[in-house]
Amino acid sequence: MMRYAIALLTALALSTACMAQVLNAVADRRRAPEPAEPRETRLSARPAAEPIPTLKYQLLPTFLEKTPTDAAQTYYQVLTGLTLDDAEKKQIGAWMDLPLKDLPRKNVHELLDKHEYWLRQLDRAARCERCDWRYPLREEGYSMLLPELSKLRDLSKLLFVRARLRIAEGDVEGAVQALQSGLAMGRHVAEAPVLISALVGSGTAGKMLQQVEQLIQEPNSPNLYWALTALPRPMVDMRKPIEVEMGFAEMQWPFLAGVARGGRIDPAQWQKMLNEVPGHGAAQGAVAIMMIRHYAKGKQFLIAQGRKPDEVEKMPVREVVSIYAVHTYQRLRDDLFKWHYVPYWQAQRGFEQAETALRKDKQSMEAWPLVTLLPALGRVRFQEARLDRHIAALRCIEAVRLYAAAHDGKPPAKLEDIKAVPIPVNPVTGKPFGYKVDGQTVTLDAPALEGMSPSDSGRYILTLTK
Amino acid sequence: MQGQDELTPADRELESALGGLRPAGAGIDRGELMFRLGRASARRRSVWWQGLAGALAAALVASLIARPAPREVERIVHVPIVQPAEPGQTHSPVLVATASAMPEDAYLNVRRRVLEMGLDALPAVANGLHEPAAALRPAVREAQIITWRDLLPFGTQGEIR
Repeated sequence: MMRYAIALLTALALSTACMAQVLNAVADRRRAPEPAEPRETRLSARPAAEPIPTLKYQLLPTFLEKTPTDAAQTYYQVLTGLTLDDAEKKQIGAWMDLPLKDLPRKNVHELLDKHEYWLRQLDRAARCERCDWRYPLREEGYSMLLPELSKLRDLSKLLFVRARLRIAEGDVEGAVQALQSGLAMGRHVAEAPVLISALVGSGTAGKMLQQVEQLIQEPNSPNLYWALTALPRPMVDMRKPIEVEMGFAEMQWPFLAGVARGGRIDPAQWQKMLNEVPGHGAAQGAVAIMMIRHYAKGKQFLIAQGRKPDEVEKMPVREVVSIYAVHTYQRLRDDLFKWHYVPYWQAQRGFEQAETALRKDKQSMEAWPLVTLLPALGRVRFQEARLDRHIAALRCIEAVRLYAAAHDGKPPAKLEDIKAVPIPVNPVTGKPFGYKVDGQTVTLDAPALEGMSPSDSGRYILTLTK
Repeated sequence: MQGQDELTPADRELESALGGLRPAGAGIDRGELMFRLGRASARRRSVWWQGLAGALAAALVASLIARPAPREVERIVHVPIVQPAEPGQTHSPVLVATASAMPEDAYLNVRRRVLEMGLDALPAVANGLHEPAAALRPAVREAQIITWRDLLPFGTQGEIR
């Protein structure tokens, strides 16, 4: 009897555990995102010829519309003066995702009217020639605070909703003006020489381009091929923030630059740096690991560099290892950053290899702790290329509408058939976009590179209507 | 007597057969009977237990077979490393607290979070710029609008709206 009871209880316990595991796994799979697919954008638009004059519509303020002043001052005024409460933020978020036809225009008007003064100031800021955010980069370095970025995102959402409202109301001129402000603000935000600002600026511009997609679908929409073509390439230039990131460690701890020129390291300076690296200040056991692992290699390196063996032997172990770490960091960093200077499709593999080397070093700790400060640059650079791909794809869509306007509403059989305007290549791959026609429906494939996630690819499906 | 005379040959044959019967001895032992009854009852109960245990065991085997491959989930765990003493030092390894730890919202921390999780990881600012951040841009601050809150005595201006 007892045997049966024990067997039963054991079986019961095991079965329950296994079944719970099975159920959990099933639930997990249900919760897990669907297998990634290319991001699909469906558009339905009429054929449209070029506007007359061709550059009648511009998606960034023109030279004549701009004032030779600094936009930052006005942006800071708006950041200080415009306050969106939580309910408003929530409402704006909901309006961003609603189909255009469901947009509660009256409510949107009420909100925009409430903040009309500050929106006017934003329009004014967006039409300034330059934007110097005066970040205390050199004074504060890695400790710098950027609280305005979060609020700038809120402002960009307000501009986004304003553009939607104008499109919903068929106000093409007003919509273009709203898009100009949003795109110009995105570029202004990205003028700050730090990566996060560039990413916020890029995100803002990307959102505005989604509204260009909406505008294209309006019955009275002009053809925006040349308006899109007139946008700068890259739309958001990451060069400045990336170069700042490259020198960030030396800016924060100037003695590092001296080490690269053959100098020695003051142990106090090194210790101060260790204390300041986030997440590593208390991790001084790593210094011991470095000394054990890399002292011999460090000595060899210093001698190979031309230092006298006697001098190297007399150096404290910690100094040998830290000089070796600084040199290794600089080598790994340059191996990563050099890929920014070639087109994305040539750089992607290089970024991957350099980032793999960084991950390995985080294990081996040859360049510790400096290596932990380097950003994942490959994805940052992809953001830049993806935004440009968005613009290039929309140019293709507009080129198709332009062709159809001259060919009885029929789309071209292939993109090369379009002779009236140049067709851009995919800035992510450096190759032409994929193109298929099925009746009045055109599919434009904007793939990413081999080995990248399918969600990094894009697909635009345009149905030409009458 | 007259009755005996009336017996038929068949009746006499039956009489003779019945007369040959001998009473049998007591065939059922009470103790054995109770034992057998008990055993039969126990057998019925154990069949139930065995059946349930067997079914659960079968369920166990089935669930082991049907178990999906474990999903790899990466978790970032920050583990402080204890530093042993520098050569020459005699004290034991200790954790050294950092006096100059960077604030959570410092650029480097925010950059790491944004690159890992996207722009939604930007620190939320309730309303307006908070004072320390605004103070970082003195040249711009001079040009900002002065509200009545700025005129309040020191310590009552939580934030500038």
